[in-house]
Amino acid sequence: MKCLNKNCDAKEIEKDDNFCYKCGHWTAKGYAFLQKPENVQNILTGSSAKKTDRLTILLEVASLSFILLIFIILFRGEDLFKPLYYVKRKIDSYVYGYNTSIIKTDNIYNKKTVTNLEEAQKLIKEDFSHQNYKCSYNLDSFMLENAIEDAYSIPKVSFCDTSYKEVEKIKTVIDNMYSLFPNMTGALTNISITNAKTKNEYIAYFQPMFQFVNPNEDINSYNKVNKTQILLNSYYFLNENVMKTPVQDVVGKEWYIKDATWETTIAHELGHYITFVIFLRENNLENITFVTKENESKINALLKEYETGVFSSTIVKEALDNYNSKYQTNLDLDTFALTISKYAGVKNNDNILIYDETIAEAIHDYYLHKENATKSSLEIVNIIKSRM
Amino acid sequence: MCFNCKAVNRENDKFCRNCGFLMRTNTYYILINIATSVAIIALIFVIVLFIASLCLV
Repeated sequence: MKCLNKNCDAKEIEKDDNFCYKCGHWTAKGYAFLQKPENVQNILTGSSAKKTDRLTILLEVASLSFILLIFIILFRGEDLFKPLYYVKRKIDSYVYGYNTSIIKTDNIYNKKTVTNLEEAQKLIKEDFSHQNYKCSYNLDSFMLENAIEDAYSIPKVSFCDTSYKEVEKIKTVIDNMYSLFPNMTGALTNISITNAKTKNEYIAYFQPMFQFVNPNEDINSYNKVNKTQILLNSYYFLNENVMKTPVQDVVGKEWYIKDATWETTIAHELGHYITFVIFLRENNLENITFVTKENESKINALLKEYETGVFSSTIVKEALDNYNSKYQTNLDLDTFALTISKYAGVKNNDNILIYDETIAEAIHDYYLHKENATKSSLEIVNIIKSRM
Repeated sequence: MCFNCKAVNRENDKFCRNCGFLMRTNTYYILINIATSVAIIALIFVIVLFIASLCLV
């Protein structure tokens, strides 16, 4: 039979067919079917020729999910994704076997316009605050971070996921160091928990320069921003079970100064920072945070010079001379350094004393023992204080 | 077979001869079903994520 639709060329319609197989038009039998009220009722209620379209259901559910997601994101903001980072932390902890930091401290930003030091410091703050939502929120720790930032003009202090007890201990070290050396304010941009490349790479680390804004840009087009930072290894500071073992048992007896703890190693790193601050000030710089075409070559040259260790060697040698003169001795540099600690006497691959470590350990010693520190430490600290 | 009324049709039929329903391939229905399941799971996930974010401070 042919289709009742004049525009349809279907020719194989059967007698029993209600609808054309080609265009869907009703046939004569289909028309009779539709004439019966009970059939129409069934059609209207959807029980006979229901036209459920799966695609419609899909679109409705997908739209609902999307709209709900938008509303929830507007309501909760970035905090909506906290559970995902919680799960990520747990997975990382399982994979690595210890707690790691969720915060990235080595983000790099390019093509950012920075016009002054305040904007540079703001970028440093934002680099961390944009990641804050990933951390488990502890108001008390947050207050301690803010207190350190405000008291010592450090743009950002971030102890993400660190226990409050541990943050208190760290703050105690920082407070005591700043009370011993109040003039060291100015160059430090941040103190943060980070993931070291390997778990044992360091406990804490002072990095004089990490260029994190516009490092790959032409200085004539974009100013740059450096971090001068102290990094705390998450392997230790986020894992209290690791820090249950005394630091001397882990790094070796007498490696650090006597009575050193995990937290007082931060005093050692601040010792590095103090040396760096003196070096900058003696070269008429307060910090190296904001880099322009006017100061870039000077900053780079100074960093190069600082890394040679020559500046630190002058301090140690002067301290040695004072020591030998005061105590009528004739110590050499190596012996002088080793009177402080083994770490103070560490040498580089060329078998030359790493003077930075000698000074940092001397300051560490002074932090722990004040006037009862070793005489060699006191000589170094006297020079440090006179030059600050 | 028609997805709507289960009537048997011929292979090249575009519309069901019994109820006039637009006949689609099995692949179409499989994909639609999978996509619908994913959308429902996404909806449940968003709700669970919201509740979990309220619990985690």
